[in-house]
Amino acid sequence: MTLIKLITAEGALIEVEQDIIEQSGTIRNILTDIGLTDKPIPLPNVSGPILTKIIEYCMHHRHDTSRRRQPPSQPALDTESDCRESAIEEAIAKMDDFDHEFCRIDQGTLFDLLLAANFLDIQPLLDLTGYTVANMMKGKTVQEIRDTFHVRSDFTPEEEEQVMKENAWCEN
Amino acid sequence: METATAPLPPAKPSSDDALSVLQRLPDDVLFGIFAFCNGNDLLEFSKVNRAFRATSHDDYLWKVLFKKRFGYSPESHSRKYRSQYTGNERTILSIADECEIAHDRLPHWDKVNDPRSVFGRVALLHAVSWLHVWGSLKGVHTGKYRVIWRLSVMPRAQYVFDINFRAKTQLNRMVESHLPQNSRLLEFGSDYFDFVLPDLLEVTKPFEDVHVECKCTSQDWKTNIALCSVRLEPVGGSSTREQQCRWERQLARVGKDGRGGLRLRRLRNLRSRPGASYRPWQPWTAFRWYESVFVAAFFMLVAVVFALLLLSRTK
Repeated sequence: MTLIKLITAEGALIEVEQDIIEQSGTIRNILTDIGLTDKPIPLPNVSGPILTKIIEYCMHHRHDTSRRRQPPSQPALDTESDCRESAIEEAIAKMDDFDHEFCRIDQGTLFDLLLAANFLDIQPLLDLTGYTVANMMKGKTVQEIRDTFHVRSDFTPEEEEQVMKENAWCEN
Repeated sequence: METATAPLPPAKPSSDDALSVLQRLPDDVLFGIFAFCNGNDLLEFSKVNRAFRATSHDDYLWKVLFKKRFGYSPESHSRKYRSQYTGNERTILSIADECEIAHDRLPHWDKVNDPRSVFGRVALLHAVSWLHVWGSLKGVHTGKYRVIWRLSVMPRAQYVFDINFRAKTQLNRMVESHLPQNSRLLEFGSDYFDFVLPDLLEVTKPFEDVHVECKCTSQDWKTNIALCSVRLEPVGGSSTREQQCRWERQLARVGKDGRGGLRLRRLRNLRSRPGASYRPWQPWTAFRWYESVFVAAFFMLVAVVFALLLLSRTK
């Protein structure tokens, strides 16, 4: 099994087996572009602990090939329906106990994971973290969201007033 | 496994600003998160800040949500997906094809084609002791609804009065009832009738899912009923709702889906015959306001003709 060398944001070197890290679309593209090399691949957006978490996730899912992106050789049967639309329900259905345990982490780590999964293009992990964040946001009022996630409002006072007034469904 | 090499400068902005990390997410990541929520949440999100507002007004997002909520892509691409999302709803379910049935196999249940059903297919109960049929109507608008089960009780039916029919919203408002025990029930032969739950179901949150089920888990063997559909009928809503048209559209879509053996029937069949109904009888004199305008117009026309006749005679 080939080992792939990765360099984290702190400069630490991590070696991973190829079939594990190939769940990441970015790495896979790099490997297909430059071929297998001994040179380490720098990942300036991903810190060491986060990369370790991601590898842990990929180790757990190394055998379920159903999550991998289908090779683009098969054209989409239905061009009308976007793959993203049907993918949501499927992604939720595929999450297992490990995944739910995996997401019991503090908010900062969760968002770092989300960003790293986006950068590394690991779709199931992106779905998982996105789903977790969505669950944290669901059913909350504006003020609760601002408090929970420390989001500042960048509306001007007039806009703020107008935004708060609108209620799109009131005509129902 | 980890060895230190020449340190790379971290390209990421330092995470001391981790407080507002949700604000720094790229748009497509935010999009991915929002796609897991529903329209109700998005309305709330759009008030948080500008980035949220821009993303939650993205029309493609509403297309994704539409697909998630209704199970098919919006067919019109000339209207905004968002307005289609808010203007659409599904208030009728076919029991045979869109509900879950416990013990859904042949000695117990059967799916038969029946031209009297709007869907062309009904679920026929042969015999079962654990009777449980459930389904959910996704994304129902706010308002008050009659819950109407369309079923038929065949002459040899047993223990059908024990069956509990209910509908429940996500906020746990529930209406339930049993079939009324009177002899008229058997007069219908095996014809379909509308069983209207006596209480009205009130949906308070926009786009709530309404869970409908009929259940009876006593030890007796329930036999010989056929379930056709369950639907919600708005009560006293505004006339802008165009509920009747929407049914037609919903049913047309079901026909177009081409799912197993669904045949579209005329909407007329959805209404039961006058004799075979449990719904409250409404006198034919119950006019709509605009019908009185027609009547007035008619009388005025008669009066005008009469006056013209008179005039022509007197000349």
